Amino acid sequence: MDRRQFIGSAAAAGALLALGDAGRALAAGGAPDLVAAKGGLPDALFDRAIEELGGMKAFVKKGQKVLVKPNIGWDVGPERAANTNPALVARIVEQCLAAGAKEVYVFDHACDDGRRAYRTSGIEAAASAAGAKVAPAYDEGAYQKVKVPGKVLKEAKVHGLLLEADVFINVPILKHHSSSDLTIGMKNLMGVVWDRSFWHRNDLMQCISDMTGFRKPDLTVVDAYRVLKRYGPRGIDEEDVVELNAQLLSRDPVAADAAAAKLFGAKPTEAPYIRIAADDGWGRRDLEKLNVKKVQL
Amino acid sequence: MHRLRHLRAAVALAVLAPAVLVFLDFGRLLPAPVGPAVARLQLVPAIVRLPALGAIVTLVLILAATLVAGRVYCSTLCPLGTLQDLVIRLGDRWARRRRFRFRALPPRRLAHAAIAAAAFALAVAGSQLVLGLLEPYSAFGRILASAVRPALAEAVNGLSRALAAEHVYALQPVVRPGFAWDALAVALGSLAAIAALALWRGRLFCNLLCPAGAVLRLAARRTVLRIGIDEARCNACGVCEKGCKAGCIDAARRRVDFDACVGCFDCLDVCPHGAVRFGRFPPAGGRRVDPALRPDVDPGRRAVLRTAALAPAALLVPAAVRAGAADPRDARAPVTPPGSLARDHFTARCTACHLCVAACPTQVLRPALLAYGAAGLLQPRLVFDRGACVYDCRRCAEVCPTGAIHLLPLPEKRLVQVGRARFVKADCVVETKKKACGACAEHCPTKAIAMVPYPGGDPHLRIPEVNEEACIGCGACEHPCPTLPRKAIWVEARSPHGVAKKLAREKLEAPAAEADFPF
Repeated sequence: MDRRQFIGSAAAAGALLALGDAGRALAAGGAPDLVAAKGGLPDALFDRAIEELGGMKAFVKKGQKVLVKPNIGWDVGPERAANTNPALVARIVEQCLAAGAKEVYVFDHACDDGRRAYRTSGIEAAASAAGAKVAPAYDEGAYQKVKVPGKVLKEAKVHGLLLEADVFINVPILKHHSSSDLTIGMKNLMGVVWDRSFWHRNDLMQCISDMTGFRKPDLTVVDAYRVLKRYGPRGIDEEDVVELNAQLLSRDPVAADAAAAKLFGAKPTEAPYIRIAADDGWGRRDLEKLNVKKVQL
Repeated sequence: MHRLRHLRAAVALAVLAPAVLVFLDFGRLLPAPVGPAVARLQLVPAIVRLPALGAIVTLVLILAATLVAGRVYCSTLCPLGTLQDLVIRLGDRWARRRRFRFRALPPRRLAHAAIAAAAFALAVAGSQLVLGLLEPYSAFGRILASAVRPALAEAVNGLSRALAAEHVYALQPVVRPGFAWDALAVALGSLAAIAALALWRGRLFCNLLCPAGAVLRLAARRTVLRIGIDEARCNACGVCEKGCKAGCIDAARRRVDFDACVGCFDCLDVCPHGAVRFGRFPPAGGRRVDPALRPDVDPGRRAVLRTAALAPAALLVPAAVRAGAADPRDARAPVTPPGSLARDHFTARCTACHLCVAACPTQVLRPALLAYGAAGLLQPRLVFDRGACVYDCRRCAEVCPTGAIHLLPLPEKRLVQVGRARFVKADCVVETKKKACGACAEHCPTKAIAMVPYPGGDPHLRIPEVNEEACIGCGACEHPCPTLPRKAIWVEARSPHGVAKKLAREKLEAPAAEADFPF
């Protein structure tokens, strides 16, 4: 490399850094800010959508440790749409391993008894079969105290695997939620901390935004295959579920939630934490200004 | 070894193994019917479970066996009997004591019958205080549930954490048992007392204090087959008497008090002349024991005194029902598990074997010394600090051997109202901080808690509202409620239990398949 070439590439790198998210998109070959796919099974939707973002290799490098964090909050089966679809979790795990990941970890600090939720959700079995290490998150010993640069949340006990992971893929399910209107990606981050009651006691909405800033997911995959339309986040039975057969992918956790909120039939501002997180600078909710790629299977 | 003794030991161990494992089966590895099966074969739980068909079958089988061969139950099906045998064996080995050290004991028929009669009479009157304490399966269960299980859980979780630190997740952490000092104290106390009695006088517990032993004694007075001494062969060496842990052989008089025999068949093995046999012998009549050997206290009087000593405990009233407490949350009545119908139904039947406590996946079901006052000792109730009653779970009812908790069909169980949620608005985060929370509504499995607009607040701010008709009292709301020091939503017990109404809902419209994304 001669001097001119060096300066040129340094300038290009600087420009990319300055451009931030858009720069990274450029680096990934002009990948869209958000991919919205519909009309297929969860695993097929993911295969198609991740291609639009440059494939799993754009996220996972050889030898890296990956954390795939689904929603495994509840002791109910996949038909109830209260937990992430197990086939989607399994496919993401497979793709990570195919991209060269050394280890893929899956966990969630469930709301119901974790052992039961892991089993009933079907995620433990599906992810293990796909090659993931499904780690328990129902034992306080797995958590480590960290400082959080938040406005309300100043410290939290987070799962050690979040701290270890090179790549963090958040795989929430889109649901109605009685407390926060909706639960999507950012709300799903409650499952990496031990003491959730602190959040509930001290401004839940701000804490959701604070945790987003602690470790922004490298990729958010919103499962909107089956969607719990009411009585969330747990639902009463299958009568509360509709099939949307959709999926959203984004590197931007706020954009993913904002788009999912619209897909649900709400304004992105209706879940207050989406506005708070955008104002806190963790991502964008102005969907009309984003490069959205829509895919129909 | 005599084949009968061999058979007895084999059956005893075959029963003991699942009887122990069911209390320690964190991973639910035992085939479903095995664990509760041992509990269902137990005499006192079957008596309490009457008139259930299974209980009648169990009792007929046990009584038939006893009428034929005596109290073989006491050395095979009774895990506390086997436990005493193990204590005697290990104790002798440890102390390097000779095995042949027992002696004939006075039969104490009256005392034994009086104690058992008092225990059963109190139970019929609605208090399991004495029957629950002395009943052998429950005493055995409490030792495992309160002492052994928590210790094993700590060991498993310690190992699991060490492995998890190395990213090995083969050994999952187990639910930490809801540890209770009072339950541990009673369990260890009874273990110490029973072990001390066993080391001192063999199976004295079974022939003085055990209610099951007292019942079987009546049937064992005249049996088809019995232990007897062949006078032609016997040279009165006394080794059979010294080897009899039940103290029922009087070698000098060549008599066997077969109603006190626990059917261990050890004596068949020890007689060098083959004079002690199991077969058809006439029942030993009259008094066996030399009057000089009889203690000069009246056993009947002793029983009365013993009962009298227990009575003050019956008068103790738990703090929970003390009148005039400042906050109803500090003086709540115990919540009984779904299927237990009503508090009286539950407490009259629960012998506190703690099989349900060990089986409960969230450890919401936990014992407390006198949670129900004089109605029982260490009977469990629902406490929501560690978890809530799982909507789709019926484990406690599946294992309950006494019928204290009925196994209801799952759709019916899901509607049982064991309590009702009480909302204390003044303590709720939404009221005190004007911030969103709703942890209670999130967890509610029946959605009996709705989040309704908070008047005068931010349009997104909502506050819980309880629909009592749909509330089942499972505690899914109380458990995650974050307020301190008291929960802003709590479960008040219902007795008798009620039936909830399922929430009426409109049918959801299916979205149009071809619709474009709304962005």
